[in-house]
Amino acid sequence: MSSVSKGKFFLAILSVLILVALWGPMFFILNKGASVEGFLTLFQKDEIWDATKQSLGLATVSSFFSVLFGTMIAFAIPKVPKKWQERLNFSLVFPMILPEIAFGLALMVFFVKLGIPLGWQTLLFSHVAFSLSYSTLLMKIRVESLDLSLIDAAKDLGATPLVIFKHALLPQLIPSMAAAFVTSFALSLDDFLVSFFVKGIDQRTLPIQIYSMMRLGVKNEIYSLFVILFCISIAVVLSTQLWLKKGKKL
Amino acid sequence: MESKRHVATKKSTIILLLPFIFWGVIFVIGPFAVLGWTSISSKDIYGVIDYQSFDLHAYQSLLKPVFLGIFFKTFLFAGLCTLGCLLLGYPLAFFLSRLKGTLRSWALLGILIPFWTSFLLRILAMFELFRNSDGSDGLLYTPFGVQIAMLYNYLPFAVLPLYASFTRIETSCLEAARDLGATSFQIFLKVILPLSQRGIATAVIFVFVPSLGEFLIPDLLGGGREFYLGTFLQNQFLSARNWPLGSAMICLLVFMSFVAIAFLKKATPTSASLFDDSGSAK
Amino acid sequence: MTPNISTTLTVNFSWLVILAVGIFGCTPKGKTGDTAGAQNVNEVVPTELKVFSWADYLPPAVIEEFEKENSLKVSIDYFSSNEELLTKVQSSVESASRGYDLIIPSDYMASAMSKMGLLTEVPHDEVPSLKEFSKDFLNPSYNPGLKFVVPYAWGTTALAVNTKLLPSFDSSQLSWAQFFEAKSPLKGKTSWLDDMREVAHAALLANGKKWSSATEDDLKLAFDYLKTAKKNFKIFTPESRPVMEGGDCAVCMGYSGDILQIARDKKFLKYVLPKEGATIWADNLAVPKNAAAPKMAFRLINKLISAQGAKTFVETLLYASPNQKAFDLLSPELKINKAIFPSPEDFSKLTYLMDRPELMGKLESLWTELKATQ
Repeated sequence: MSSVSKGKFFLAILSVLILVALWGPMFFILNKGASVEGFLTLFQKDEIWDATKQSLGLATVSSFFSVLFGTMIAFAIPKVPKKWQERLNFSLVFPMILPEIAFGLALMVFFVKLGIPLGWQTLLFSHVAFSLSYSTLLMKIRVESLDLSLIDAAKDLGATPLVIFKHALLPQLIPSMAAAFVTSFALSLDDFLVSFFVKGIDQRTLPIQIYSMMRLGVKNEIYSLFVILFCISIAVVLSTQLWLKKGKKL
Repeated sequence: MESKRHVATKKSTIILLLPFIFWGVIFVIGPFAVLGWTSISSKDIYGVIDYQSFDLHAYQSLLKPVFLGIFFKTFLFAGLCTLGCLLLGYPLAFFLSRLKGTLRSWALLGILIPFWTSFLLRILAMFELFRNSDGSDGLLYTPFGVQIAMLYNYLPFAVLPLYASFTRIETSCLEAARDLGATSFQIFLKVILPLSQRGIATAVIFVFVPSLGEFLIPDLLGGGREFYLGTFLQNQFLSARNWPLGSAMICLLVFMSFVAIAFLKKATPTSASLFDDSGSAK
Repeated sequence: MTPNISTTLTVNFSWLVILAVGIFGCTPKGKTGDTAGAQNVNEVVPTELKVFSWADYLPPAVIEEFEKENSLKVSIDYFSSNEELLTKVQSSVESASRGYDLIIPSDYMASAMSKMGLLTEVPHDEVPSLKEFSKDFLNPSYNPGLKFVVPYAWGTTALAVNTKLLPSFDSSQLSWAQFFEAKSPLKGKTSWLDDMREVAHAALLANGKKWSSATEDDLKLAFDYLKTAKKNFKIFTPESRPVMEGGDCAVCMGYSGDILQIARDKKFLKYVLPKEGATIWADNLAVPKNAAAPKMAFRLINKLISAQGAKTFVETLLYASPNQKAFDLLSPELKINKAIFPSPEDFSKLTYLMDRPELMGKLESLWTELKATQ
């Protein structure tokens, strides 16, 4: 028995160490950023707020489409002949694995060759493109384990298709759609490489803004920005988890 | 009645699949087809591509030892990162899977939250940490520092698939093995390892292939000392303006990714399909 | 799933998609400034001017004044190499998107860009400050008659010596050869500029060759030299200022103004012109063909090169200006600063890197090889 608990102990220590190592750098920066002057300078820099607004808007819109299309595809997959399903799955996963820089450069060359002006449209399309894989996969998992009995029950009770959709189907989908939305949102907000190559001259997203600030030499404002973004990420992840938990209890 | 059903289903399936087809053509097939086309075109002295030409010069250049060297170095680099992520991530993921209830949720959050913070800002964190307190460079601009930053960034990508496959291993199964008199090491080798094959393969794919193209970390933290695929590509497209060569490199990269994935599929015989549920472990 | 449900689903989804595309497609994205189409931007009263520049190259005071005088906003994007500038401008012109209003190409890039037809001609009557220019800059070889660009700044690419790290080092005899070979005490503490032409030129100088007469063999020689030298260097950087500030670098390659800017605070930093000579370059203001507000752009150009504007530029950024009247307005200390305004003796050692398109292919592949070498 003691070798088991020794093993467990060792694992526990190792895991804690790794978690500490993961969080260490972030606390370090949080510490640096939690300064009044940092925040003050941050609030004065217009371009940071502009970039933030652009990023948030872009993330919201692209996530919306990503979840919408992802859900559609998730429903379509089971209906496709088995042979094609595997290929479909693979082609969905492949862009997730591909190095982002390859994707970004390919898109840039593509748009330039076709004479499509680089602007917010190309940026939006590209963001939907790379988050689509994630949304589809998340929704696919949900669709596979849908509780059809609810739908059958509603039908037996004589409900119209619209009502069945609204009350029997949608509630089952919503938690996964939320997860897909949040995933796409985070991916879009965080994206640098693809955005860098496909954006037009007017677009400046937050990661691109941060990158150019870093290139010039790191300054305090970025640390303070980090504090704010970090709090937001925590809030989002925590609230999603709590909400999902509530859903499960029901 | 049957045929009507069938037709209705077929039509609706196609409509539902429309986004996928649209997406597949415009964002996957299209760009890479154009990329392939660019790689066999020639460019003039100002970098303007002549798409009517047919020129294998780019691929010939790729075969030069210098460029093969970049590939080799990047492979080593990505391989090292993958190995490190596996070594660290495997025990961590296993431990997480044995936790119960709220502790498990909190521990998972502990992994997920850094994963969800801005990538650039985490690099910034490393940048500051590497620097010594007196302002001198410390770990900055060293290959070792770059590897550590890579591990830091890619660890969650390894932990999550491993965790997902570990949750499928019931503790009762392990206890049974223990009751039959197996030592910890035997349990690991004969029970845990085989059952986690799929998780390992997924983790390897999700770390190795993306890290082949990693650009930001070698660029911001490595100071341009080491030339990996990612920095090379950025250089070819923006500075050297040799799009055919850069495109050829990307085509090669895509080809290599296919090869890596095919290889891993062969190596994990127990998996029906590697891609049946490789979503995140939410 | 019964056909009824899936049909409903499909129909619902389709409506949703059409609705969404309709809403988002038609709404002009206010977040991204006036991108409702370059043509829509009111040329008479533009609200925003987009500039693509080197980092920290436009004196903030002058920009702010311009913004107030014309009730608009100037937003600046940064590039770190001429090649990056060319790529971005070229792809935006090729894809007919809205371009930058003002860009800052260096001499050889200005020449290339004008040959490629990417620039708008300069209306000399809208840029009266040109009359105040010193004669040397009115007809440069890279842009005869100042047809497509307006010279903005000039300077040298030289070395910054960290006297704190090298207390007993004699920098008066510092040469490019010494810099590259980096024997003790420089070993492992030199930083090279991530600029293909500058490094190539410096290497040519170190090997006794000249840019104007260099052949492909000369380039090969220079780069073989560099490949060996690379073992002793510390870092490649497009932006030398953070490296110089860090204090870890014994000798850094950098642009004259950058060096002097850091030396203002870090007094241990010293500008040195290497023995074999160096590059003299000129940066120019230009308006791309697809600019949305060219008239306003030329107005900004005029302000930047005016006597007052140029004076502020020299005082803030410590580069030289082609405006003679501005020079006269400067303080005596600045006028005699040899780092900004080289002496005639120094001038004989300085070379402009004229455009040599026939060498570019070879140069680019040698540069890539150099970067890939350990």
